[in-house]
Parts: sequence; structure tokens; C-alpha cells
Amino acid sequence: MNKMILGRYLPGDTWLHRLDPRTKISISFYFIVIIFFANNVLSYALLLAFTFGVIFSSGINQKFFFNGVRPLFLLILITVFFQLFLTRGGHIYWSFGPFALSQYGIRSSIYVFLRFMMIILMSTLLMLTTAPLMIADAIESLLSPLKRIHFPIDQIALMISLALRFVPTLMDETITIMNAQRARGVDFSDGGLIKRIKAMIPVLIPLFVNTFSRAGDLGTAMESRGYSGEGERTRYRKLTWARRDNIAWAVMLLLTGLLFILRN
Amino acid sequence: MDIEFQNVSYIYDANTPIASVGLKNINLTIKQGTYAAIIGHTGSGKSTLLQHLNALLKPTTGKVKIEDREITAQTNNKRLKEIRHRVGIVFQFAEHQLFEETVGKDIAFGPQNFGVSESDSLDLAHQMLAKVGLSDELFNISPFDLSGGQMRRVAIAGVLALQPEVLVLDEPTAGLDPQSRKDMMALFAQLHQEQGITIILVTHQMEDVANFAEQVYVLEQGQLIRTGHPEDVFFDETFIQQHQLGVPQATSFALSLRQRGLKLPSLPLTEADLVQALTTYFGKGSVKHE
Ligand SMILES: Nc1ncnc2c1ncn2[C@@H]1O[C@H](COP(=O)(O)OP(=O)(O)OP(=O)(O)O)[C@@H](O)[C@H]1O
Ligand SMILES: [Mg+2]
Repeated sequence: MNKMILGRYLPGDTWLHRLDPRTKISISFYFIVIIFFANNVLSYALLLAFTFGVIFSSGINQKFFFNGVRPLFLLILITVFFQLFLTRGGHIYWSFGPFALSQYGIRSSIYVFLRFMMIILMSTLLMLTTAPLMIADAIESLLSPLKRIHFPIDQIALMISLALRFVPTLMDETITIMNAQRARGVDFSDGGLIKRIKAMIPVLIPLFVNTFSRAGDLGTAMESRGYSGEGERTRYRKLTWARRDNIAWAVMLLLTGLLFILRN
Repeated sequence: MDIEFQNVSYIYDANTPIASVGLKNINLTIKQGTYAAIIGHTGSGKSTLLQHLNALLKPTTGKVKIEDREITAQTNNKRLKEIRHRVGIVFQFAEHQLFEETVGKDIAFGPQNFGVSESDSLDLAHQMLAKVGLSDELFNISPFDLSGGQMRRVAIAGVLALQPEVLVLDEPTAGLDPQSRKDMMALFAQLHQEQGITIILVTHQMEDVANFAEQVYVLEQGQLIRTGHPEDVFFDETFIQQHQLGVPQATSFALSLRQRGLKLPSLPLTEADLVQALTTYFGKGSVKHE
């Protein structure tokens, strides 16, 4: 739990930190889309090289980064497992009932694994190098065209920034409550699956109760300071698009070009 | 049981870029049956230290000895239950740990985890509810329908129900009204005197330290900067000023009297001491203070 870096922001001054948050978010989405166009060894190799290139050049502490994403890989492995044994096609090496180990199964499970891995690595990198408020500002700015159709962008942006703001608080509180219950004799690492799930009840209930009461307090505090949800919001931090953002997009277009040359 | 820290350091998120020091090279011994107080500014490491007392945290380097068990970074997570049974911790904002349907069940939760039967644990719960000064009518209502102060008392009862030999209290009275505060402090003192329970209290209330503690530990930025009897610590004016610590009201009152030229023979720690010192000074002999 302590080692989790999901949703965490590491302040710093690398080139990734300095990129405009809008660039980072839009590029991340764009990258996730083009991942699905890769369909052979060469195109996957290209995207992998790009992903690791960004990670290594970002100056982020590599050991911390890879240790932090490791728990997520367990999740992927489960998905890959199904892909591996439920896909048929090509040469069949082994089969039993609905399960089979086939040439296609192996290939597609490797591809699925790589896709998930790249998506997780990139989005973790995005969260680690972008302050939560910046992410909220960027989402608001990127979605602002939807204002024309009276989509409540301001409120949604506020909701997102509040949610992001409370992720670390919630993590800390989970640890505190787990410790308090441990002190009352709960053993979270003991027994089978059912017993472990049961052991979480004394953690989840206080967590929910506290979260609701905190949300209520927050709402009251905001209203008592005059928040009503109407009115145009002005801002202190202004997002600025710089030359490096153009360069970042140019690199992405180049990558796309190469990808379409390499895929078949 | 005695508790001993040997060169204990604790680093949060060790080996990551967000590592931060929690404790630095702590050495201390808390003897069986002591009433100890831990004081220090916000963020000085008090809560971090407390969590080492029942192996919720394990030292990054050094070792914690709890009677004959040694806890180091390598200690396995299994077999810690016995320690947790014998060392009860009331956490800061303990009311946040309540979860059961009824007050009674919540108090009985701890003992049941340690193997006490359901009926015995419910009996215990009735007793403990009375001990923390709550009416038995609350036994079957939801803990979430109580006031904040009542919830705190229920949480404390839940830890007392473990019948620990060492009771660790992290600011147990913060946010309570003055009467509740007095009641709770009296309860802890009673447990200490009647049953010889070791009490380890973290507090920002210097009066509580003066009135109850036999030994004070002062923390600053994760380091233990002073250990001693309350008088040794609070009467050391240069030390107190240097580290911007508070002193009990009686002491600070006497100090300001001294500044205005009143030559008190000795400094008082508690209200009773202060009255004693003043009556001696004004030559009325020793008037008994009620
Ligand atoms: N879960 C955590 N992760 C990282 N750092 C932490 C964590 N808990 C505490 N710290 C840090 O360790 C240091 C000591 O914190 P601790 O909670 O022990 O202080 P404290 O003396 O109990 O303060 P207070 O009087 O406010 O309760 C602080 O600098 C704090 O920021
Ligand atoms: Mg604390």
C-alpha cells in the first residue's frame, strides 16, 4: 500500500513537468489510440522504444517508478491469462475442454500485455509529472468547446479537481484506519480470500462514513464562502502553450507516420 | 513488560524520492508500570514513535524490544498478535475507527479478535462502557448516532476492552469538553494506580504531563532531545525557551510572579504545588489546600 504511486504527483523540474498539461493529456490519449494500430513485431517495437525513451529521458527515479507500477501488472497478467488460454488459431500446442494453448493465443496475449503495459506506464508518468490541479485545469480547457452545447464544464472540472485532491487524503486515511483495526487484533494478511475480504469491512465502513461527512463539510464550507456554481470563473494560473508543446506534437506525428509505415 | 528502543530510526517511503524521516536514532526505555508522557511539536514524530510500540511500524534500522520480543526491519508480520493484545493503542481521532452496528458490538470487536467468546466480550463491553462514563442505554444504538465526544469514549472503551498491560494514548482528550477531559484523565490515572498498567500518553496539554506523568520524553524533528522527570524538564528555562515548548500553567504563573520580583522559594508544577509555594512565601505555614 505504501509503495503505490497510482495517482501520486512528484514535484520536479524535468522537461515532462514543464510541458503544458493540455499537451500531456491530449498526447496521452492520442498515444492510447495509436497503440491499437500496432499489429506486428516492428510496430510494437517502435511504440515500446518510444515509451521507454520517454520514461528514461524524463529524469524520474526509475527504481521508484517501476516498483510503483508493479502491483498493476498483476491485474494485467490475469487478463492476459484468459487471452492466452481462450484464443484459438494457428498451431495448437495443448488443449483441454475450452482451454487451449495455441499459436494465435500466445501471440495475441503478448500483444495485449504490451498494450496494457504501455497504457499503464504512460498514464502513470502523466500523473507523476502533472500536479492534480493542472490536470483539472487542462481537462477544463480541453473540454471548453462543449460549453456551446451547455455542457457544465466548470462544475465537472471542479468535481475532478476535488476528487484528485482527495486521493492522497483517502490513501492516508485508509492506512490510519487499517492500523487502528490492526491494533484491535485484525490481521489483514491472514486466512483465505473470504476471511481477507471480511477483514476489510472494519476499514471500508469508517472510510465511507468519514468520506461522506467530509464531503458534507466541504460543501458547507464552499457554500459559506459564496460558491454557487454559477458565474464565469477567472483564474490565477494561466496555461501557456510554448514551443516545446509544438515540438512534442511534431514528434507524435512523426511517430504516427513511422507506425503506419511499419505496420502491415 | 518493559519496552526498549535501541538506535531506532524510521524513514517513511524509504528508498524512494519521497522518503522522509520519521524518527532518528531513538534510544529509550519505558519500565513496566510507568506513566510516561511524550511531548513535542506537530510533526515531531510522536505518532510515528507510538506505532512502534506494538509493531504497527517496524524500525528501518535499530530495534525495538518489547519484553523479550525483538522487532527489527526483518521481523515477520506473523505472530505479532500477542504483542498487539498486550499493548493497546488509542489512536489520534480514535472515533474514526468505529464501524459496528451497535456500540456494544464495536467495543466487543477487539476482544473477539483475540479469542474471547462472544458472551464474555459483550460482558466486557458493558463494563467498559460504564468505565468511560457512558450510560448502558447506548449499548444497542449505532455508534454513528453519537456525538463526537461520545464516539471518542466508545473508541477508548474498545481499546480498554483488550485489557492491555500497556495503554498507549495519542492525544486522547483533544477536542473533548473540559469535564470529559478530566474524567478521561482520571480514568487513565486510576487504571495506572489500581492495575499497574503502563501508560504512554502523547499530549499537548502540559498540565496533564505535570499532574500525571512520571517520565517525560521530548521529541523534536524525529529526535529524542530530552528525557526526565517533569520538573527536570519544565524547570529548565533555557531548554524550554530554546525549543519553544510550553510549561504547565502553574509553572508559568510562578515564573511571571518571579519576573515581577516575588522570590518564590521553589517552582510549582501543579496547582496544588503553586498554592503550597504561595502560602509558604506569604508566611502562613502550610495551609491545607482542598
Ligand atoms: N504516512 C506518512 N507518510 C509520509 N510521511 C509521514 C507519514 N506520517 C507522518 N509522516 C511524517 O513524519 C513526521 C512525523 O509525523 P508524526 O505523525 O509522527 O508527528 P506527530 O508528532 O504525531 O505530530 P502531531 O502532533 O501533529 O500529531 C512528519 O514530518 C510527517 O510529515
Ligand atoms: Mg500525531
